[in-house]
Amino acid sequence: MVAPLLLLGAVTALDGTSVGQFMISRPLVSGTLAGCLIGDPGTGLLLGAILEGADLGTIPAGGVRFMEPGPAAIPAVVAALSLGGGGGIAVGALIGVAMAFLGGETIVVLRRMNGAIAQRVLEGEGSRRELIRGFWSCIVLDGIRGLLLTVAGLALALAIPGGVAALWKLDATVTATVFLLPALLAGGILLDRWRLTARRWAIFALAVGCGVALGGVP
Amino acid sequence: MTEGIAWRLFLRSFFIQGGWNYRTLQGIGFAWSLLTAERGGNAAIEAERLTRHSTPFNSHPYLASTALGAVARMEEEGRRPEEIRRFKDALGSLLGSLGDGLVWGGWRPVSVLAALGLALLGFSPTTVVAVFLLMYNVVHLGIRLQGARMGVRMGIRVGTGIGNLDLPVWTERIRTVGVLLVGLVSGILLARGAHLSEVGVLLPLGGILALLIGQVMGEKVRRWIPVFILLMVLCGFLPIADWSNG
Repeated sequence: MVAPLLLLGAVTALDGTSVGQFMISRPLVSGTLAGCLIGDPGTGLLLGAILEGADLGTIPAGGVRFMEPGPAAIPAVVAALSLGGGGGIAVGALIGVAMAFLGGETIVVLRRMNGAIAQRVLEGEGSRRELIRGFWSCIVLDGIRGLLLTVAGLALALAIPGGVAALWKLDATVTATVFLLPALLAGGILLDRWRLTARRWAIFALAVGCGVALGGVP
Repeated sequence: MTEGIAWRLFLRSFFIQGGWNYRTLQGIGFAWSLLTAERGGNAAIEAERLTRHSTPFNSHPYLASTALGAVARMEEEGRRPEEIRRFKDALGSLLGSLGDGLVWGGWRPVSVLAALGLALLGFSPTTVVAVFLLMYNVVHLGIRLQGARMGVRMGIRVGTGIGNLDLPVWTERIRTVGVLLVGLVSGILLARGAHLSEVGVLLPLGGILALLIGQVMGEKVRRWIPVFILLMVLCGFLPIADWSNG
């Protein structure tokens, strides 16, 4: 069980920036995949959606610092499933956010290390061998980073005593709905960025109405 | 320049961000990707080119294949290094801003919102993830592949080709779809919250407030989202939350 989760963590970290960016690194995907590996894709999707909502609309451009919620979704799902109930979801969400922040900081460290490698490549004065070696070193470092991050996250998730979840006052359904509220905050930020013209206001209002109608259907 | 080179650059473009760093940005990935267009050449010329292309360069990762194709074409045409360098700098900035608006600020959140909507409507997790990945990557792969082919075909004239694509118009269309999806997802979530008898109107009111705060304050409030989550966790552990259970 642990090995596939660690592999998922490494792949997710790589997909985030270094290789592909097919969005396997999105928490919606990594959380669901983690849930599938543990036997509960539904909880995996829920924790992934919570972290996704918290990260909705961030733009990882240039040297901007950003959270890394993709690998963070893995320990979040593990915590939620090991603790169970609403408390598990809450603790999972908290671990997910904490690990996302940590992941962002490790990206900064990685980029500085990559910079040192880049300097050696430049000093190689066009050596094909130096370039190839330097390039693959950076890729391997990112994979190791993802692996170690996942190890740390899993250790944290499994260290939380089971009694903590029992202290949580809300049931699982209410907890899940509450923790999806940050997605609305992020949604509002997107509306601001996307500029609501009169036409878009009308579309938005109609869509909310349709959503309310759909949401009311059991 | 053959179609084969365009394909090879397309495949290598998936690694353009390998080695991203604060010193040369995508420089290492760019130079590594161009190796595929350097086969059988003079070693000294190759070394000189690799040195030039390992220097700082940045662009949106999906549109960088356009720059790769164009630069490979210009190198093959024997254009002056200074001309290529100026072209690369200008093109990188253009592709970066176009890509950030189109993809990071547009297609990605739209795809996520569509997936969240499906999840809230009760579709299976595997369906949600499959739809998301398919929807997102059809556009992603199309951008990379067509960019590489256009770059190789047009070389220094690729700016005209990019202009003809009307990417800003497509960005606005995607944003309109995004507004619709924000509305749909918000509506579903608010309705679901209202049905939870334990919390009554508090959840939908909180949701509307969150939406309004985000819309009014914009990016300034993004950094507070993790704090918001932390506060929710703390509240849930406090005895004040006992009211929810009667």
